[in-house]
Amino acid sequence: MTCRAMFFVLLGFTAAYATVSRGAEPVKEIAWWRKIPLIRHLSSGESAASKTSMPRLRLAVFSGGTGASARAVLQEELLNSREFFVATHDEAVDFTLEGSSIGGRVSGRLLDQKGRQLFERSYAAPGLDENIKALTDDIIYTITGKPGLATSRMVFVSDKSGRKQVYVCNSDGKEVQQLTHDRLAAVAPTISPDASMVAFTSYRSGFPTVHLMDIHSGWEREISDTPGSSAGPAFSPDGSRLALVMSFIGNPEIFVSDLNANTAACISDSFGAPGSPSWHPDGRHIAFSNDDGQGSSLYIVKMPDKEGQPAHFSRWRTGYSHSTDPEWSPDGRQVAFTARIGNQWIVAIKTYPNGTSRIIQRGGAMHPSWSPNGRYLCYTQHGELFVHEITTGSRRSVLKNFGRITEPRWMR
Amino acid sequence: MSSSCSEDASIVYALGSREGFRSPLNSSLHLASPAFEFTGSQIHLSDEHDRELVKLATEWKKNESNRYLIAGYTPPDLPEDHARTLSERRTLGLRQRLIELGVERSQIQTLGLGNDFYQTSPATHVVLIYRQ
Repeated sequence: MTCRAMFFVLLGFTAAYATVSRGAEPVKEIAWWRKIPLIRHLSSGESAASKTSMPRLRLAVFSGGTGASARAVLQEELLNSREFFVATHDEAVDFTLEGSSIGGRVSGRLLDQKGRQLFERSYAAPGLDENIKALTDDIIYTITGKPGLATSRMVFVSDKSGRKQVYVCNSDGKEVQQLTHDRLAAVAPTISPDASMVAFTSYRSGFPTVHLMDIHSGWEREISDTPGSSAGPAFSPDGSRLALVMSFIGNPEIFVSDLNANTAACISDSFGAPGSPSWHPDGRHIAFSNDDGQGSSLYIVKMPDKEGQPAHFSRWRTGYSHSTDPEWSPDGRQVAFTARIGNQWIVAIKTYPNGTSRIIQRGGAMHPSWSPNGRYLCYTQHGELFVHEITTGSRRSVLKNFGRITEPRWMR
Repeated sequence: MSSSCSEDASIVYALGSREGFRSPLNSSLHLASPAFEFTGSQIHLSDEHDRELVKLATEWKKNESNRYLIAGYTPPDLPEDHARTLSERRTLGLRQRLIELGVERSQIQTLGLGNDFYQTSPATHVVLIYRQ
């Protein structure tokens, strides 16, 4: 019986088997940046900021009992974002933010240079900080078209409790929360685009299975409990599908599981060890690593347009003999990955589809993951979590002395 | 990357139900064979591996009620996801060869643990076979 036949017999999944293509096909359609509902960002023609390198934003006096503290926190958040000059006096600005805060609730109204309202919104989460972060990201998205990081989250694994468990924190490495409390280990987390769900690999049954958890309620369901291994999930850009590794057909292969229909399709075809799937923002291409016994290499697979059609994949050369953990940048133009030089692990990036590789960090850096705005990478080095600004090369440790941190993944 | 469904490839045996199989993570299991050592990115079986598997298959075919779990491990310095799939690939290679040698496929399950339990489990490139 061939693997294809067994595949249908065992699970009845929708299958699309891969065939080898001779070269990587250029990506024609790129989905730009995550879209935030209700808030519209300015096109380049509308934005006064497009004329300068950095928009100037003035914070008006906030009314209300907690107005002064809300304004102070907002100013700090906006400065930390490095997206604006924040004017504190009456001077020519591109945008003005008016606001009020009563009892921790916050309202904000963004005006352009001509006094036109760009948005007005109220935030009523329990905490002032939470409301200010949401307002900050709405301001950033409206003006720059890119998601802010104030509300973004990172998931990671730590053995702080004595067993590997999944944690979540903000982009500063603060507000750390333990998500799993498994008797054995929980590893390989990935966070959904809206930061509401986490998928991870759990060993609670003694065997690796993939689970989906609602971060807020703790509600959980098992996605895959097939014989062999199920591991390494990655959310699609729209959050409706998971790419993961399953081995029930006798080989470990990359599958794409539809979370609504509860079906899965195999998209790789290997006698090696494929893993670490990562989605292109167009939702039609997946990068993954595969080790055929000669060291791990990166591959790109183009998903079929219709059910039953074959997937096409090709090797994507990085210039390193051992490359793994690929992750596409939010604009789909670069791929970050872990590579090895000698006995040393490094984090590198390479322009997609063609370009040269560039080392971001040497000395045992691993498992890079892009920030939602594409400006930063997070990665681990010797159990410590770092955030690294790509253009300046500056980096900072955001979480250390928290057990051994591995497998960080930034919200997309 | 070779094709697992191509004409020159051998038949790949899918895993059956693992109901009733116990994991070394939550059970005390006895080893059914010497350890199978691997090096680096090696996924293919060596001649030494094959000789040992032939001996095991001969023994196991005599009693088809016995069941075995093949578990793979790697050192802690490998990237975690790569370690998991590499160790699983090795276990499936051993299982495939045992079935080709006549062992009933329902007797064997696999488990690739990579380096997820390196503090309490083997922390080298090794595959162990546990008797159920």
